[in-house]
Amino acid sequence: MKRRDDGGVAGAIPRRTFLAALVTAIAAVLAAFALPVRRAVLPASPAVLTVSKPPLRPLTRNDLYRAHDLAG
Amino acid sequence: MERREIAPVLVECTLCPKQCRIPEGRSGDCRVRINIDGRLRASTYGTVVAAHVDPIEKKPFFHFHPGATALSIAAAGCNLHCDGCQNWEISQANPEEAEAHPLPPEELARMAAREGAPLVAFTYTDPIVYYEYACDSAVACAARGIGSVLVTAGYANDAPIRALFRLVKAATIDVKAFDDAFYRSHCGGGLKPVLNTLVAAREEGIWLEVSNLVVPGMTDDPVKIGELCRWVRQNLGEDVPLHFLRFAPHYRQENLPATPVATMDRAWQIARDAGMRYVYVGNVPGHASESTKCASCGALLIERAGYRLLSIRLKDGRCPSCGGVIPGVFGGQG
Ligand code: SF4
Ligand SMILES: [Zn+2]
Repeated sequence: MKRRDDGGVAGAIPRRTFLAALVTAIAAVLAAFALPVRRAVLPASPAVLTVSKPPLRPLTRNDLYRAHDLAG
Repeated sequence: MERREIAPVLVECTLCPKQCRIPEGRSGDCRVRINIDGRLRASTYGTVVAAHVDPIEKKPFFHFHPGATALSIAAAGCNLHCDGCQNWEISQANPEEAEAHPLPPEELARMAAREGAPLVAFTYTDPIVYYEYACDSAVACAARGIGSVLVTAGYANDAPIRALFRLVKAATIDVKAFDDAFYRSHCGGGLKPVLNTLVAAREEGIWLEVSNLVVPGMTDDPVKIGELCRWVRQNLGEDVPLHFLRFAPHYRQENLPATPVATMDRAWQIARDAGMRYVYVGNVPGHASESTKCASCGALLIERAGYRLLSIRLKDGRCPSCGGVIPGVFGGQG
């Protein structure tokens, strides 16, 4: 195995990152149990994204032909 | 107005089996459905990232209005994350970043009429994650006499998918592999809900076709293909058109080769041996199976070149040679 300068093994997840991810995951699981959950009644209501980028522009006839190479 | 919650609320989306519990301001696994003020919102409602007038054969539908065109649309996002996704640029896109165009349901129906398309197809990504938009669009299209069809991976909960099936005329459902472990490790989903969706489509009485992408070294195991074919035959019937689609390298499987044609031929043969009567190989232009032959007498009934319809020889939905009924929805075409 090849050691990195910081003592970790090349290709392995650095231990600090791993611990931080573990703590975050445990916190997320705990939070999921602690917070009230509301089951959404479908259909959900529409929401137009406010942070859309690039900005929405109306569909033109040219756009109609852009998807020719998509599957399905 | 009084607001009773003091803690933030997690909203549980009940649309697909992932049942994401979504914190305020965040989205579910599909990146599409978001929690705003403790309510679930459909963030891509009324916007499309792709729109194209395609032959219905491309979806694929081979026994449903052959030769008809479908205004085919998609909104961004998907609830599966298949390693070999053929449309990953839009299916795995963040809705905030994808270049989308507003196309409210009523406008979509008008556009289909303007383009002379008798059908609208919800396809390319997965209509499950643009569920509300697909439902409302199907209703708007029906009001203009335009039918709607779905192309989906079927990874949905029973009640919502049945409600959507009741609004459309047909569905092509893509089974990734007859292998739950494959769904878990390569798609971020599971097999069981997909099989439930197939049965639900059959029970709701819409026209149904089944597709399966054959990826070399991944989903080309003859044993699994055989299991899929036998399951389809037992649960959906021998007359369901079954499409094996050839894989081309994409997304996280760019390293894999395109599926050898011999592998596609083998899948076709396995399905025929399992008793499936209408089996097709897709994405192999010129393949012998791309035309429909009568399963009883072998007469050529619907001749195709790729997705192009060349001729159709049906009489009142029957084979003109032997008189056998050909399963499908052929409208006034035969
Ligand atoms: S549709 Fe999206 S948000 Fe809803 S459960 Fe499925 S992945 Fe999660
Ligand atoms: Zn015949």
